[in-house]
Amino acid sequence: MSRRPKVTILYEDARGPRTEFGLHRLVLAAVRDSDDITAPHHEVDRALDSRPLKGIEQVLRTCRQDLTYLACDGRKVAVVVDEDVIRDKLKLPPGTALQAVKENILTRCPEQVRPQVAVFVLSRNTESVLKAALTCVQEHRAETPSAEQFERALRKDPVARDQVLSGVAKETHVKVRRCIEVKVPALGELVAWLTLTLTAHA
Amino acid sequence: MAITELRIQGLRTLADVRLSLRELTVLIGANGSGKSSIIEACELLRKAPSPDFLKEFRRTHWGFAGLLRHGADQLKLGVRIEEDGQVLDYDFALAERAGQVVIVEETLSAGPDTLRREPLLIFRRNDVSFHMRSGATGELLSIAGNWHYSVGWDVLVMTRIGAAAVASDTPSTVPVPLEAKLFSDLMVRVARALRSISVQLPFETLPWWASRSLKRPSAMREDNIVEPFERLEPLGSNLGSAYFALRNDLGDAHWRETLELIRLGLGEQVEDVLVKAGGDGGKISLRVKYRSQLQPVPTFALSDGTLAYLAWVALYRAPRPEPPALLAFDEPELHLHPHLLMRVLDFLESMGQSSSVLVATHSDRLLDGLSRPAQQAVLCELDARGQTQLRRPNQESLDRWMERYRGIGDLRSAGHDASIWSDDEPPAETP
Repeated sequence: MSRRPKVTILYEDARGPRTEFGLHRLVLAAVRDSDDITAPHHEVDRALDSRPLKGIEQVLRTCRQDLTYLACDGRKVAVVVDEDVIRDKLKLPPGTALQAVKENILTRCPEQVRPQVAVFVLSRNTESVLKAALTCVQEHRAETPSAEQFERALRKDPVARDQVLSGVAKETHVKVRRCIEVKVPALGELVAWLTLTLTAHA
Repeated sequence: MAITELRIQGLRTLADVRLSLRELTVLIGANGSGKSSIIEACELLRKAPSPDFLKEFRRTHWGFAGLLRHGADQLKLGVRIEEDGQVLDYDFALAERAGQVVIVEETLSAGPDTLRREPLLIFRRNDVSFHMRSGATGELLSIAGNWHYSVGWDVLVMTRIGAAAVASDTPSTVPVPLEAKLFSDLMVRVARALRSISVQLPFETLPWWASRSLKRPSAMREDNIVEPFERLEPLGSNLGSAYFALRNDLGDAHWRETLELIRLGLGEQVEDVLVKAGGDGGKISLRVKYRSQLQPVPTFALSDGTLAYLAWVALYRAPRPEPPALLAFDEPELHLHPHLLMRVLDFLESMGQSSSVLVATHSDRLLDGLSRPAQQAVLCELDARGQTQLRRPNQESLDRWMERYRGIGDLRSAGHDASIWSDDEPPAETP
């Protein structure tokens, strides 16, 4: 694999760019879990470029304004947004189907890069990933992350949130990750899409 | 217990300021607009219960010459303390008497809860009288006649005119009047809150070569003398002792979590943080072991940002008997890459869940990262009289601008921040 990323993932986030973004660590680990991925870990990490952006407004702005530059090298772009306020922000009626939401986001991207873009909508928001992680950690009797860390993360403690997501990204937590992917279908779809994209490029 | 309001009068540009403190309050504004003076006021409040306060006031803060606003004859500081739904308001005034700075008046009012704004009782004492009034009616409830009161922070010393002094915490046949005992008990709580204030300046990471060249020690890069760790010193000079305590005194699980936090900031390359005691003259040395390097890296060779982040983790993870009533930080962004600064912002917002956290900053990036900027940001600006005025963002305006900009910092860089400030912080009131 070359040094250039194969995919850029735009994440809707509460904070914006930061070190060791927890949700991306989980996604990276889940992609590396796949039997189809044979490249060394560091190459997978380099192939998947993470860009946490503050709020849905910044994600939409990037889609609208920056994708022509960002994706001009042919890379794919994954857009990961939360479902909780997305319809309101897109000015869509409350009951709008998920597929229509995704298509609406795609239409905001420049036409020439649209085929490179895929949209993933997390049911509710990152909290649903945390809740799924808690259930999966309990189901698989994993010792970490601790119940206390989960409790703080679900109280919206920003430190605990990334601790938990990084905790379930550990090499020992493969079964926990597979369980989370089932409980959060959008995450499972994202991981499958990334895996397919990387193997297609290999 | 949290300090939820600061009141400052007569301190440099802070002619009359009242600042509500929420979980995290972030002060921004031009140089000289009063941000650092507010942080210094926090330090004065922290020292206020100390027996050496007035000496420190003169020696460390340069007394009235360094602090008093031109034209003011008193410097007043006050706090609102909230604990278990009860509200305490404490204020004191400093003035010059016969060439000496003294506390000329103290007021303490106690209310039942945060919803009821009127206090139940108001105590006021100065060098000639001690009063207790009803908060609702202002009615004078009792006057402590025939007594001379000398109410310290932790003890009430009373002297019946013509008799020996009696302290409230020593068995005595002299009955302590109820109102004075109540005042004394409340003052103990005020003192506990003030003493718990923590004021943190930017960590001192002077490079080793500069330290040698300037012939002055670099606070965080020197080995530490072995001593019990109580709190991280303002410049981070006892970082080695902090990590010695974090590694050895708090159990394996606590240390593993501390290492996780270090890796969240500095990356998975960090294998361990090592502390070694007993080397040169019984000192503690701190080293970071990276997976890619054979030998651990000593503090003198670490980057400024790495060292500063280690200090932030120590600050966040350090054991405390109870959460401080107020944590104040001046320019926490120093030395940190913007992405690492977001980690520190995580710490600040997390600490804000148990303490009031006050930050003064120039960092646009920190502003952009705020999770609730309309509630958290406060602009300090000087009016035509050179007095600091405080303003908060208007939520509605901010929401509109945030459709195009990622935060107040981004908006400020583009030159549009003047469009979002609207609500003046209410002026100070004397309780």
